[in-house]
Amino acid sequence: MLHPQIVVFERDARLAETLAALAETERWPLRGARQVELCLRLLRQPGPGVLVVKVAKPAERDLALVEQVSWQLPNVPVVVVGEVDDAAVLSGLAWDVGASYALFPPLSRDLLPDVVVGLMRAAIARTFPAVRSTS
Amino acid sequence: MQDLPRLDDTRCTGRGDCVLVCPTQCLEMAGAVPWLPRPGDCISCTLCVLVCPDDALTMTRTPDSENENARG
Repeated sequence: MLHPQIVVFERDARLAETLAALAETERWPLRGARQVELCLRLLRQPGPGVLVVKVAKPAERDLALVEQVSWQLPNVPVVVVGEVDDAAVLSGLAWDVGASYALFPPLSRDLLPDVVVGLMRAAIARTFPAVRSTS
Repeated sequence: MQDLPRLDDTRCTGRGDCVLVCPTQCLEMAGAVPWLPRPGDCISCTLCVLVCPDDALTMTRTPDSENENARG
């Protein structure tokens, strides 16, 4: 049965920790992947989903995943989060390869949960036009 | 890992019995078919599968992840 899920691609689990409270509140599965193939396998499950990718140096592998998802799974919005220098260049690259949103420091507050909720609700509305998310 | 209901939408006739019987209200109708908006609330009780008059539901195991944080 179709259901929402958040997939986080990162080398550690810090973003997943940031999103844990949101996932708990919304009752959405929060799944972590460190390998590209596993990440794609999770995202290929039918149903609305959001991918969060932490870009770390070297950024090529992470941005290649974003590009792959944007081509193969265009219904999956991708949030790119950086912890690196060269934010302007990397956020530009993230947009170029198909990211829906790019967050790079410095941020005045943690915007990631709000961004993920918004993108997920939009994804649910695209999947089920009859559904009006109220949570 | 978690067992979640899987819908065969070629069988489902949209009666909604699965939604009504769900003890955790994790199912809802989306137009003519049910969906699972709160998979974290599913307790894999299989009541939805048992009550479905169309045999449109089965339980299926969700894929592994490397660090699954949710209850999913």
